[in-house]
Amino acid sequence: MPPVLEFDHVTKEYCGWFGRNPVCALDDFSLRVEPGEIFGFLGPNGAGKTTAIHIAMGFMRPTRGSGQMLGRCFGDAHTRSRVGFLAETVALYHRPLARLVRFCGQLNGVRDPQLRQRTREVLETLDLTDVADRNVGKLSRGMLQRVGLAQALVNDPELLVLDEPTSALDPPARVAVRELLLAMRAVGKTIFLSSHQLSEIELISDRVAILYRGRIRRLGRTSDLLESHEHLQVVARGVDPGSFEGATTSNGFVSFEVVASAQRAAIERVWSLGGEIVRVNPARRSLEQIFMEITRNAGEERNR
Amino acid sequence: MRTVLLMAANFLHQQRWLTVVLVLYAAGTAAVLGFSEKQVSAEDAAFFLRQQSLYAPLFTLFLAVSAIHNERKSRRILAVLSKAITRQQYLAGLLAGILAVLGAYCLAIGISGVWLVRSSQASLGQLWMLLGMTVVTSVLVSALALFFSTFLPPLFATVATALTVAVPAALEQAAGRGWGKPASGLFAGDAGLRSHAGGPCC
Repeated sequence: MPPVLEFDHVTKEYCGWFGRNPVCALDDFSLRVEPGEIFGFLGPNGAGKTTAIHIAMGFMRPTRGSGQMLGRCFGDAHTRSRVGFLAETVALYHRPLARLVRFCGQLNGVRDPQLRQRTREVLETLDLTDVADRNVGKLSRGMLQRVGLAQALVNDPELLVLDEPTSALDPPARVAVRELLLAMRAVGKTIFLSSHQLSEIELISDRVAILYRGRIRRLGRTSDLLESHEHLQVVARGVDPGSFEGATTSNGFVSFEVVASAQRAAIERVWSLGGEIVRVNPARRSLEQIFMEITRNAGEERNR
Repeated sequence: MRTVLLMAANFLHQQRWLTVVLVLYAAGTAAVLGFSEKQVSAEDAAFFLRQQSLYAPLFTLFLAVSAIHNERKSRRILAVLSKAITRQQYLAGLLAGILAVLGAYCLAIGISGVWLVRSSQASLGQLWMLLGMTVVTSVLVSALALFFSTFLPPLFATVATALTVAVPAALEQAAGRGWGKPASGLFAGDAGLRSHAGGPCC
């Protein structure tokens, strides 16, 4: 099956007047997003995430390289009628909410009665029906973010490109959006999600890419990234936790991590101390730990 | 075409209060002139029309140079360009919106002008000529300003538009009347500007 979104060796350089002070935002960046997946796109500020999204949406052209969205080159207007987009900073026209959502649907070529029905559906889904007649300019930031999602969903998109979709939402709204995204994936939609909410990405994304200074530093299935094959978690009982570095105790079980090569020595040490091994598993790390490790390593590499 | 009209209607909605102010300004100025004296003189009517027909291109100039800049600055442009709309349609929509504001303003000038000219018992022929020139000049100015504002900041776009529109008049001044005639023929805006600069219209 062809990818929904594909970057092919894309480089983007920003330059000052007369080509002075060039900054490389994306450096030979390649990525494929497969149909029906939730793809987490991570990176610290200034990593190039928004630049990549803007190139995909056709807001700017790459300096080198190319790419496709839903089988057409980046920037094709007709293709965008099948895409929903939410920008990092939600900025919308100050009009009554329902009219604004209708306007966005109309720009995407959706016509009545389908448009009327879709508008009603998205407002209900995002719990905006009560404020449908209120002017968007008078809404709170959280509400505005929900309106941003509503305008992105009104055309029933095949691909949803979301840049920080839950940054201003309260926990219940965040859970609701998460459930909405999972429901969309269940019906075969693809979601390209850029976010700093690592715990959320960890919960819902199928694959993750971590970007640092315009280059992908880690790409893979979320479950594979979270499970380390270099480190193992050993759980034992009947031993003193002070005997092992970084050991923690819970319900009488002592848990500690060792590198894979030291597995045998650690197990023999437990036995020699009169303890008993309960289990040995690949160590599971949080996305935050991986993210911090990658950005730290990349930073050190760059300094060297 | 539908997308262009949608964008134009949206622009008009965004600028609705400015449009109302412009219309009220034209009508109000005419009312002040018309009701302040028992008999409106031809000079008063001419003054009103010359003033308004100078303001119309100026208003459209400022509206056009700030249109894209404001959309960029507020980042609303991203919400629009992420939809199934080409850049050409987007620009055409903005231009159509600006022309809709201009249309409302010129309509107000026309109605007020007819009333003043009739009150002064002068001929209406020159009024239509001046109004036509105002519309043509304003359309030209707004199209140029919009074009320049796609790659220049508002101030530079304003200067570039003013210079471009003033080229035929400057040519004529520099090289004599015979030289300027063909350029004036090409640039209707120049004729409009010269009519603002002086000469009785009614």
